[in-house]
Amino acid sequence: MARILIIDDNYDMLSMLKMILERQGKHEVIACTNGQEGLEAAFKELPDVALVDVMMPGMSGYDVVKRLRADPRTERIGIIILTARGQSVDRDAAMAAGADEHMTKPANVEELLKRIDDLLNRDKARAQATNMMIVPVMSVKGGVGTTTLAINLANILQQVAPTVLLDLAPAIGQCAFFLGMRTEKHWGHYLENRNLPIASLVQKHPTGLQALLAPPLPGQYSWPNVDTVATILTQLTGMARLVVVDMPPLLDATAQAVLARAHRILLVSGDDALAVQVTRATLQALQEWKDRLLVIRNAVAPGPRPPADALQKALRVPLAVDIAYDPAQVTVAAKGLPLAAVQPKTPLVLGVKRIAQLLLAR
Amino acid sequence: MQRTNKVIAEFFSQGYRMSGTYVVTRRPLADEIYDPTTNYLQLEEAYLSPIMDPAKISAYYALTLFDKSNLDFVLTLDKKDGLRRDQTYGMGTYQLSICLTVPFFEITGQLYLTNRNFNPRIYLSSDAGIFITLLDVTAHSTFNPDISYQGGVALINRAHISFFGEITS
Repeated sequence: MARILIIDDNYDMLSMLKMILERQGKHEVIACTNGQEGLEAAFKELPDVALVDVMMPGMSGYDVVKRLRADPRTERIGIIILTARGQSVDRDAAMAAGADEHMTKPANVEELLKRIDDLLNRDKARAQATNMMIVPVMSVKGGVGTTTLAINLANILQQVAPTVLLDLAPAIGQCAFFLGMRTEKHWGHYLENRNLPIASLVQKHPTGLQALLAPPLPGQYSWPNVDTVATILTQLTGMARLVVVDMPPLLDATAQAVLARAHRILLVSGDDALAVQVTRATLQALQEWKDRLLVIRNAVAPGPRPPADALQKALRVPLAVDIAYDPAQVTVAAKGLPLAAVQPKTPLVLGVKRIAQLLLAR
Repeated sequence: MQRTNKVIAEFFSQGYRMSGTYVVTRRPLADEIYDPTTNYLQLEEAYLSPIMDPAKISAYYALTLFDKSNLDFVLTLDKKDGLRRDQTYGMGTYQLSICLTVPFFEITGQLYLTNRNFNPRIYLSSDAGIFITLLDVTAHSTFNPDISYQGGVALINRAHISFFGEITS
């Protein structure tokens, strides 16, 4: 049962729709006879779907739809324009105003109920997608340990909720190398055959970690475009609550499409002057998403390090987590295992656990 | 969904599109339009749009009167709403594809005839009624050819027709 708002100035039509939706659709109905009253009810009752007439005195249905879409409380509700104006120009106007569907009066009851159900199902899928947390791990400068952090983070998060590690490195298969996995299946296969379900390309590591790997050879496949990445992430929502993305050292449209969908972005920085400079530049480039950024310092080589305060001053942002050099990582990586799976108390793993805590706490 | 005693139709006149409700209390809309003894047609809940921006509602009238002689054409989505009572029993055996123009529109549709020997001149000048009935109609806006209106029936004011021709396949 859903909550349906009907806005129609025709009392006969309003009564008929109310009766149909309550008796046949088993929905709860809120009925309003004009646009203003309908808007007030929408903001107060927060319906799942709104059926809006176009031709109403005062505020037209198009204006009602625009106002519903402009308000954060109702911007995502399903909206069906139900009108006697059934020409293509009217359909275009309804869609331009922000409606999801346009139906002509008198509407077929089965068709109307089906479209309402479709909108409700779409909202469920959307809610599911919203619950999924996407966490890109990135650095525009290579060699700062993003893949190591991504693998270990995914390994730790999977103990909390179903997690998939997505290797978006442009066709060099780093995650597969570090995990000792054979790239029999990877996202390149999806580029070859768009009918392949993404779930069929996800492989399972002996530790239980699920991974969608990158193709092993450079140049074999083109870099996925924005739509492809969107499809991959959407399809992963069905099998994971958390997706950790090992990002490429790029900030192109595809990378930005991932960042736009991310709940938190882990920006990894090194210690050396070049790494700090690149991180500063990246922070400027990511201003749009500054509220989602967690800056991590990761030491990938032994030796003296500048104090964290100095680095924070240089970057002008606080470090979320500061990870010390961990010699255990080198030996374990050669065995194709995430360090977190075998040595849970080393500096790297403790740092990644801290990151996981920050992610899950927010 | 249950049909009511109200017909919503599109009325096109002198650069305006009006969507209005005709209350079918005494007789069908087409009988009222065809009636040569009355000059005006009364509509309820009429919404006016300029033909250059036909989805925009620029005015609302709870009640309005139309001078029928000024109408270019009337369009109904459902055939049943646009036929005269006598036409619901049959409209003729012969079917012609017609293209005609009225101000702001080029209209194509099917004309039903009882006589195979069709003469446009005789048809337009001597057939009864100030309107003619076309079925399965598409009306293209002259100034926005991408915008078209489709309907089951169009009642077209003969006096406003400029070009009238048969479409031969």
